Amino acid sequence: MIKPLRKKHLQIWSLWALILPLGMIAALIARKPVVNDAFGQVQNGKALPVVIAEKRLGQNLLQLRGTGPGAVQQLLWINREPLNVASATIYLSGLPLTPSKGGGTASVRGQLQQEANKNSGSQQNEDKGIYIGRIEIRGNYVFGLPPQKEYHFLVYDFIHQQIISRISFSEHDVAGRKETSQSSPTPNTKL
Amino acid sequence: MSVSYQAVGWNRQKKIYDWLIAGFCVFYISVFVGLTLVFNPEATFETLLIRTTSTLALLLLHVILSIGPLTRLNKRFLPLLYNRRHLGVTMFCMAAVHGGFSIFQFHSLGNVNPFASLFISNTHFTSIADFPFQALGFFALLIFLLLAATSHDFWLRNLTPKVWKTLHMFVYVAYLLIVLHVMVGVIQYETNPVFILLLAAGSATLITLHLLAGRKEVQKDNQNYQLQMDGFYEVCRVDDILEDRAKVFCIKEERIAVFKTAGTLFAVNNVCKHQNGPIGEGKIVDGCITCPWHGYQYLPHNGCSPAPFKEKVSTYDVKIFEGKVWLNPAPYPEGTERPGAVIELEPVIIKPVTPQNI
Repeated sequence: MIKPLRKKHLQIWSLWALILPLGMIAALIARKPVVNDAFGQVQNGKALPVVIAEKRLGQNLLQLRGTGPGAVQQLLWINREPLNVASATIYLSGLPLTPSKGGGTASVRGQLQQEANKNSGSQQNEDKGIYIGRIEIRGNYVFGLPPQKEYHFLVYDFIHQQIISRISFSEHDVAGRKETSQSSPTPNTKL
Repeated sequence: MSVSYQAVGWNRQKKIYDWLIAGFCVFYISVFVGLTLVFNPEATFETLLIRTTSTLALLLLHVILSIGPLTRLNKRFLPLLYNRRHLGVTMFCMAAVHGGFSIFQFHSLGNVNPFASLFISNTHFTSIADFPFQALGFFALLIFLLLAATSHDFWLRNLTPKVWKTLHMFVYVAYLLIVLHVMVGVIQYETNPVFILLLAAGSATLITLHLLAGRKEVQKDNQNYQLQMDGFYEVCRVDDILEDRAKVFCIKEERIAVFKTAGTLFAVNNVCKHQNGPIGEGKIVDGCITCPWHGYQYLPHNGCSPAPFKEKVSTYDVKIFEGKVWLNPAPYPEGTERPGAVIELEPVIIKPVTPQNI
């Protein structure tokens, strides 16, 4: 190797020795708390017996489940048809989200910021909410949920940074006034 | 070295090396797929393929980038350097599969052109956490494509070694892009700290190796040779140079290799005409100086490659005085024949065998 090339090699790696650690640290600091262990995906995938509320999203079914009426502990997502995106994640949002005019393709940050502005000074909606889990292939997905009066879910494509869908369960739904609370077996996972 | 370009010189060593690369890739893919199926049985085929090829390509890239400094720190790694290009092309193939399937899975389901979608679907350039990391991987893949496409000696000859080496140094830019691609992409969603630790360990290893090797080279370049006589510098003792090997000295900015063979010292420029390899770290094979990187050969007395090859390097004057080697750093035109310095053997005193000295 000639001397200028040797010098260039050393200069580049001296620079990389500064940039790479800084980039890594910055990326780690910027990481959002993606998973709250308390509400993460239930490892054994077993749904609780009582269906407290139920809603449809196309062919797919969403059930709030628990051990008794009004005591929501789980979200069971029955994915009968694959979603149109491979990078779908579910968030439990703090406030109900209205559909955007652009058919659900507005950026999360923009839309949530608008809603935050409506709620004058409230910082609650500046993020997507609590990460619940990820939907991939067809099947049943069971997610743990914190106890709340109402539930607003956001299906979010993390690659394209876009909202795919919003599903809300109102206080009435959760209380079991709109949907009949009943004991229901877990659906067959092979759909 | 060849007068005509051949596809690849498939000698026995290269064949063994290629089988090892292929075997390792198959082993890695099998283990990765097996472990994923055990710990994450819901993973789709596309996800499995994307993750397997990406991690394999990243691992191979770290190995490739380690080979250069390792050879400068320890000559035992030189056989790896001889075959590095095959490893590079293999790494590109893995990265291409990863990139291709990622674009297919994440960008081909909409009504926008997948390549347009790659750049317009996420424009959060000011956010680290939401940064469009796929674009970083795309540009790195473009660099790998360029390097793989120009890896043949045809391009080396036509672009000249200087331009070719400069072009291939873009692999360092690609490495930076890849690390950032992983850090602002996968790591933002990956909760397992093993991935972060592995990447950090890999980067730290590469940085350390390159800085150590660089420091060693700087020390070599900064050696001072004080004693001077008629343009000659005293560089070492004759005994310091092993038979059929060389010692390298950096005088006045450039390195000169002094070889000892068949009782004579010869001095040639240390830079190989092929890829600027360090000739002086090679050895004499069949009477020819042989570059340790890719086996290019030169005759010690005139710096010319043996016929029919046409490469030439500069030669220098060397002489021996009182058991010391003296070197003149003024180069002769490439291919100029020089007599070298004949090593005079010390007379051996043979004592008669008598009953007294038995």
